[in-house]
Amino acid sequence: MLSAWAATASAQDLLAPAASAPEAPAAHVSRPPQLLEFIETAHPVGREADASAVLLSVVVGIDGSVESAEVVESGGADFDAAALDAVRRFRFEPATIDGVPTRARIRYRYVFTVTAVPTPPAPEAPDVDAASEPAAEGDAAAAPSPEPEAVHAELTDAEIPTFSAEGVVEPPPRDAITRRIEGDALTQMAGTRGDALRAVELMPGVGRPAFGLGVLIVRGAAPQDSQIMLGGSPVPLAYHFGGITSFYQSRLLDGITFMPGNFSVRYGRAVGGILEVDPRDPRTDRPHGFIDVNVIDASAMIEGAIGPHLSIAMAVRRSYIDAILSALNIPGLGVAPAYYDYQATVAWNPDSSNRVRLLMYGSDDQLVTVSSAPANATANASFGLDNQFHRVQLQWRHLYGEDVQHDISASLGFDLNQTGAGVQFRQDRTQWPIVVRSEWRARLAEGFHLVAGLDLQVTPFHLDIVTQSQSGPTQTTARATDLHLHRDDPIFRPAIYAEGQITIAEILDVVLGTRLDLYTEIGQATLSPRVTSRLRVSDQFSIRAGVGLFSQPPDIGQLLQASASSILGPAWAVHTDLGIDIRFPTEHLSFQLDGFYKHLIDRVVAAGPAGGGAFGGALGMELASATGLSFTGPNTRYANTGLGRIYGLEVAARLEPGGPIPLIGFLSYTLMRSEWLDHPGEDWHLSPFDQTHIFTLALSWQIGSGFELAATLRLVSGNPYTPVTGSVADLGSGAYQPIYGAAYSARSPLFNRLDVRFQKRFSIGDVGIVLYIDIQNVYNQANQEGVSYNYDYTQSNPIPSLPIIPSLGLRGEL
Amino acid sequence: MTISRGSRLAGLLLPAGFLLASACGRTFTAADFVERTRIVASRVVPEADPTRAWLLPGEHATVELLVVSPGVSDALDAVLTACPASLTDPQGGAASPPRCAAPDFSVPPSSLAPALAPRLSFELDVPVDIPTGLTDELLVFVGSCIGAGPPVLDTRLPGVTCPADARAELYDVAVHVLASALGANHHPSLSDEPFTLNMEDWGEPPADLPLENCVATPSSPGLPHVSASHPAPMIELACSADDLEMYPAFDADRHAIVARESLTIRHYVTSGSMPGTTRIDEASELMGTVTWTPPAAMTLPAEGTLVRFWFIASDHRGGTDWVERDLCLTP
Repeated sequence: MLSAWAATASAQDLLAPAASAPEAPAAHVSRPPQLLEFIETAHPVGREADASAVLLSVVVGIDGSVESAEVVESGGADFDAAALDAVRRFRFEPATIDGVPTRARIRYRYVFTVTAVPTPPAPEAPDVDAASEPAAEGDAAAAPSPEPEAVHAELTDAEIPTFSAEGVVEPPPRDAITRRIEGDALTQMAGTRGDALRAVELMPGVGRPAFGLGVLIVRGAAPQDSQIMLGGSPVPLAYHFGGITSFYQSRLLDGITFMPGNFSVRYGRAVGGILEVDPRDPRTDRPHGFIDVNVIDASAMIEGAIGPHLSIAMAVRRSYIDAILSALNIPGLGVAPAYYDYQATVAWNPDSSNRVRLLMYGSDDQLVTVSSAPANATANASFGLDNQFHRVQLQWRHLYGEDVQHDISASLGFDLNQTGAGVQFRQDRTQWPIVVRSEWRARLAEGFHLVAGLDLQVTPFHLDIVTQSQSGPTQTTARATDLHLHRDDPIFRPAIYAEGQITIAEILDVVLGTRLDLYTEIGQATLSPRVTSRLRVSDQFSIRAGVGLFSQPPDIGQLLQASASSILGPAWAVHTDLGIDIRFPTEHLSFQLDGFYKHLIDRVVAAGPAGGGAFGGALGMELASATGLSFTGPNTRYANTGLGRIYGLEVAARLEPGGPIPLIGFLSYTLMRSEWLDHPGEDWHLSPFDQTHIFTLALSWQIGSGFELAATLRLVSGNPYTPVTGSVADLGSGAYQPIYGAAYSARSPLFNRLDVRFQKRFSIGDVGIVLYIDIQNVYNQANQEGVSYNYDYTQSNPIPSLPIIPSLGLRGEL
Repeated sequence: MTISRGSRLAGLLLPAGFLLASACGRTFTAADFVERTRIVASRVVPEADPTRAWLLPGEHATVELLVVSPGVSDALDAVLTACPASLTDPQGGAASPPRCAAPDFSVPPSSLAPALAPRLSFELDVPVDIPTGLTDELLVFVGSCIGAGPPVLDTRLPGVTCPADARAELYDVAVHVLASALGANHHPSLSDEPFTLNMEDWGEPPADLPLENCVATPSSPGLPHVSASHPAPMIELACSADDLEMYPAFDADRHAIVARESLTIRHYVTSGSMPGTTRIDEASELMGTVTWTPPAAMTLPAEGTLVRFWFIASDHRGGTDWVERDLCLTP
C-alpha cells in the first residue's frame, strides 16, 4: 500500500468562498462544505523527496459526495493523478445557504510537502463563516469574500459558489532536513528582485554572501562545497555576473528545495549542502505568458498545451545594461556586462505510466565593449569575459505497475569560460558535461522500499591558464611567476547508490543508504554511508536525526596546482543533525529547530597566508564560486591538510499561504561557529564563512485590491578577515607586500539591511499587469564587506556594501 | 609578473553596483607621492665589476639604497641582513612575504644624518658557500628606524622594531647569485641618458638645491622654472640599446627562447601626481614619455616650490639605476 509511505495527512479548513463567488445579499448565511472523510495518499512513487501542490476544483454535491474534480493548477502529472484519486473519494457535509443544502464548488489545494512534520487527518474542519474569512487562494485572497447567493440543489455548475481548502501530505525523510520554497514565496519576497533562487537566502543555515553575490554559503561551508542542481543535473553558475539575476526564469519553477546537510545518497560530490531547483511542467489549462521589463533586463515567457498530452513553455531574457552604459558614455568605462538566458520545457505525458520532459536552457555572460576608444589603446589594461553554458536534458519516468518506478535523466551540455586581463592573464576553459542519472524504486514489502541508482558524470574539457610577465617572457629567476597550465583529458565520475526505507509501527521512518563514488581524475573511490530517521511523537510534533559521510573531489584548478609533495585526494565531511518539527496546521504555521555538527577532514587548503588582502578570504572564494574563475595566484599550491568543525543551532518559523491572515513569511535565525585548521601544527581559527548570528525576517502581505507589500530584514554578523599588521617593501619593484596577523582574527561590523518590495496588480480579463518596485537597502546602510589598504598598508578603508538600489519593473501576464 | 588577486579581481568585479560601492571611501595617498623620508630602491654594486647586477660567491659588494624625502631627510638608522632566499615561502604561497631558506648573516649597520641628498649604503661580503644557480637568490632585508634607532630586525616574521617615537619600515630585495660572471645581468644606466622637460634638456640638479624661494635661483637645465598655469609638462626619457640585454628565457608555452629586456621606469615626486610606470623597450623605440600633473596654481606660493623627481629604471632581472631631476614650480 503506497499510502503507507506517507505520514498522516490532513485536510485543513474549508475556508470562505473565493473572491470569484457571486455577489449575494447580506441576509443570506452560507456554510461551506465540511470535510468528513479525508483520504490520504502517498507521494507518487519516486517523488518522495519532491514537494508539490495541486490546485483542484471540486464540486461537492448535496449528498456530500464529490461530483467532479479537475486540476486547476498542475503539480505534475503524477501528483495530479494522486491528488485527484484521493479527492474523488472525500466525503463532505454539504454546503448550505440559509440552511438549505446546496451544491458547492471548492478550490482545494492538495499539498505534498517535504517538511518533516506529519499532520494528522482532520476528519472535520471547523465551521468557517464565509462572510468573514478570506479565501486561501493566492491572488483571490485579496478581500473577504461575499456570501454566495441563495441557491439550492438545482444550481447549474456556473452558479454554484466556490470555496477553498488545503490538504497536506508528508513524504518519507530521505534527507535529514529539507527546506522548500514554492508558490508565491518564490517571487514575492523583498530584496530578491523576484528571483526564486535568491529566496533561499531567507532560510536558516544560509550565510550572507558579500555584495549580494549569488553563492550558497551553507552552514559555514565554502561556496565551492555546495552544489546547485537543476532537475538532478549540476549547473556551473546560478546567477548572471555573480548575482544580478539567476539563470533560470523563476516563473518556470515549481519550487526550490534546499538541503543544508545530511542529504540523501542520491546526491554526492559535495560536503556542504544541496540546492535543487525544480522546473515545472507547462500549464495546460489555457495559454499563459508574460513580458517583464525592468531597469536591468527584459524577459518574456509563453506556455500552454499543444495537444492532449503535450505542453510546452519557452522563456527568454536579455539584459541591456551595456546599452545604457554605452549611451551614457562614461569616461574610463571600457566594458560593461551583458547577459542572456533561455529556457524551454516540453512535457509529454502520454499515459499514467509514462512522463517525459525535455528541458533546454542556457546562459551567457559577456563583458562587451562600450567605449568608443580604439581597441589597441587599452589593450594592455583591457579585460574580457565570456562565460556561458547550455544544457539539453531529457527526463523519463516509467511506472512498472504500482510498486516499481524507473527514472532516467540524461543531459548534455556545453560550457565555455574565457577570461583575459590584458596580456598578463588568460583562462580558456571549454567542457562538454554529460550527466546521466538512473534511479529504480521498488516496494519490496510492507513498510520497506529500496532505491538504487546510478549517477554518472563525464566531462571532456580543455583548460588553458596562462599568466605572463609584464616585462616579457619568463625569466630564469626564483621569482618568475609566469605559468601555463594546460589539461584536456576528460573527467569521469561514476557513482552508484542504494537506499533502504523502513517504516516501523507507522511512527518511525528510518532511511539507510550508501553511495560509492569514483573520482578517476585522482584515482580514488569513496564510500559514503548515511542514515536518517524521523520519529512522529504526535500529530504536530516529530523528531528528526541524521548522520552521514560525504566526500568531494578537488576541482581541476586545484589539481593542476597541487603541492609537489602531495597528491590531492577528496575532502571528507561527517554531518550530524538533530531536529524537531512543530506544525500548527490551522494557523498555517510551522517551526523547525535544528542542531548540527559537521566535521571536515582532508579539506583542500591553499598554501600561504589565510585570507589576506582586500579580496582574500570569503570574498575571494565567493567571487570564484560566483564566476567560475580561479582567483588564486599562479604560485598557489594546494594540499589536503585542512580540518574543519562547524556547529550551530537553527530556528525556522514559517507562515504559509492560506492561513487566517493574508501574510506569508519566514523567520530564520542561525547561531553558528565555523572553524578551520589549515596545516598540521597550526592553531584553529575562524573560517571566512563564520557568521555567528544570521537573522532574517521576511514577510509578504497581500493587502487587497491587487496591492502587495513585502519586506525583508537581515541582521548578520560581519565576516571575519585577516588583519594586516605591517608590510615589507620590495625594493626591486617598489611594491609593498602585507604582513598578516592571526588568520581571521578581525571581523567586520554587524550587517543590517532592510529590503522592501511593493507591487500592484491590475486585472483586465485574463490579462494582468503588475507594476512593481523592489528596493534593496532601503535606509542605505553602509555595511562593511572588507577592508582596502593604501600602497604601504598604513591606511585602511572599509569596503562598503551595495548602496540603496531601487528596481522598478512592469510585467504583463496572460 | 604575478597577477595578484587584487589586479585580477579588478577586472572581474562585474556588477556595476559593486564597482560603484568599491570606489567609495577615503582617498589614499598615491604610492608615487613623496611625503616623508623613505627608501624606494636599491642595487648591488660588486667591487669587481660595478656594472654587474648579479653577485658571485665570496665577492665584496656595496648595497646602495635610494632614500627620498620632500626636503631634508629625517635621521635614519638602518640594519641589513641577508640570507639565501626560499624559492617561495615554505607553504608555497605567492602572496607571502619572502622568506629565508637558510640562516641569515648581518652586515655592519648604517645610519644617515639628515641631508638633502642622502646616500645610504652597506658593505656586503657574499659568503663563499652560498648556493648558486639560475634559481638561487640572496634575500636582502633592510630594517630602518626613521627618527630614532637602532632597529631590531627579525627575518623570521619578518619584522622590524624601533623605539617608540620612531617609524619602523621594512624592505627587502632579491639579488641573483651565480657561480661565474658569464651571462650575468648588468645594470641599466639612466644617468648617461638624455632627459627632456617640454623638449628642453633637463640635467642633474645643482648641489645647492634651494628648498625655499626657488624663483630666486635662475632657471637652468638643472633647475628649470615651470609655471603651473601652463599645460602639463611633458617629460621624455630614453635608454641606450645596450641597456636592453639579451637573455635566455622561456615563453608562456615553456619553449626556450632568447628574449630582450625591457625597462620599467618608476617615478616619485614631491608635488603633483605622476601615477603609474613607464615602459621602455624596442617597441617604444627606446623612448618613454611621462606626463606630470602639477598642483593647482592657486595653491602655490609666489616664491616658487621646489619639486623633486626620482626616476628608477628596472630591467626586472635585478638591474637597477636611478636619477634625480628637480624643477622650480611657480603659480
